[in-house]
Amino acid sequence: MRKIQKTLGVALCVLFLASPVVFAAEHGLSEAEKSFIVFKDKWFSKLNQHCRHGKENMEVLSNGEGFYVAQYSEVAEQSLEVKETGVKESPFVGILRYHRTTFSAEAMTKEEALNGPFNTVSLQGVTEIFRYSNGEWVY
Amino acid sequence: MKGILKKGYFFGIVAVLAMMVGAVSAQARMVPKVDNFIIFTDQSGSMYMTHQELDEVKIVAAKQLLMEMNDQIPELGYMGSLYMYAPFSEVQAPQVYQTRDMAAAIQQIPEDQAIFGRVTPLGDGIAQLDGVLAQLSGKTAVIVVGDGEDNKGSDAIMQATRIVQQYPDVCFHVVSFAERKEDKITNEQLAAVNNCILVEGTELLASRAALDQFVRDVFYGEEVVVVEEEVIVLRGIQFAFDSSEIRPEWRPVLDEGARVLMDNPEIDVVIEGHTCSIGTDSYNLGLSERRAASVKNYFLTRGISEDRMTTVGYGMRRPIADNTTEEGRRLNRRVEIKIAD
Repeated sequence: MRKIQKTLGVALCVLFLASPVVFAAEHGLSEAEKSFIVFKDKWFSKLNQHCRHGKENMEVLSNGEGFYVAQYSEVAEQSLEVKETGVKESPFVGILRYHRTTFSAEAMTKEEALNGPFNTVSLQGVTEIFRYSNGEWVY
Repeated sequence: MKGILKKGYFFGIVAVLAMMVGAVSAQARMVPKVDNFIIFTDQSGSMYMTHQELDEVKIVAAKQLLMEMNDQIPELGYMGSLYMYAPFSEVQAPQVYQTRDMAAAIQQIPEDQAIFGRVTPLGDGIAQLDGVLAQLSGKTAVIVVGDGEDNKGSDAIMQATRIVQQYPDVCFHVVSFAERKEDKITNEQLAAVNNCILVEGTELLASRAALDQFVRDVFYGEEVVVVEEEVIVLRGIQFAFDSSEIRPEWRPVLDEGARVLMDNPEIDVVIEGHTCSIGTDSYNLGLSERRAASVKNYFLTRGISEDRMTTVGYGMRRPIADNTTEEGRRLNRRVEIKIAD
């Protein structure tokens, strides 16, 4: 009987410690939120640096009618949210919402087009969902 | 994340699962009406006399008004400067406008100068704006703040007309502290040179709404921008090399995406797979199709109807980032979902 109780106790401890509730509690929703805010800033830097046709590497194309069109996109944060998942491997998801605005300018030469002035041509609402795993936001 | 999906909107998803979400929304954005502005303040002797209606020294009232106005001007990238006339002096040369910097410049306007013996060569002062305007490009608002006295030197209206002929995109807006009839006429004529604004300083001091309107009329407008597309991107789902298997740790992200689809049952989607540039084109086309199919199969297990989803693989043919860097290639490895027509 004592052996059964001991075995059961060990099993319960293992289950408890392995539970996603404990895992999430150890990491803490507030800590996840704070880290997501930091991650968000780095994410925008990545988008601006690596995605095609940011302001630093505009696309300039001929429109086939004797004009050149310079175009680039920028992102602007709207909101962010972190939720608990109940999954041990990925205890949190982070939801980042932003706008991606595309600007364009038209001129007779490439150089003039690059100098603007630029007008807004489209606005896209983007919601990105990340997962938190092993102490970092994964993408 | 609840939203109402509307037909005709493009939704893209990056990294594993793309979901369509969100409704069209309109937002107002401030857009500048000018490329530059010059605050041009009268510091002649008459400005150090008391304004009868305000019962305040005119320069003190003007300075207070400028501080309040400055607080309302949005920072939209125009070049701002502050000059004085009678005599002409530069307080702040043209620089990218920031509220804090202009406030510091306004504070430098002296409140204690002699009244007598300090006349008003308004025309000469306007003429000296030529040197400032020559540095600027685009549209320029000159905000003249003064009592309209013009009793020395060249004719102010003639000088303003000459300036406008040389710089057609210049507008003389006048904030008047004039009390005498002839001075009010001078201010009216100055504003009329290029059909610009004339407003009473007393009115702007008395009414916050009037001040706000003046700032809107001179500095900025509002543009309504409609959000054309909504995209939901599920991240953190990186398929192993040559694999299309869905791993358990990805499920929270996928489930969050599935929830959006369940909340919007009227939408049908196309799931697109994309890869980076490593590997052959044909290999990547097949791989991306398999990954898109894996995502679709997962959604089936979550109760999303199969007839709402189709898949396609684009391989490396539609990159969103620079494939010459590892970070760019990572961003390109993704699945996008679009609304089906």
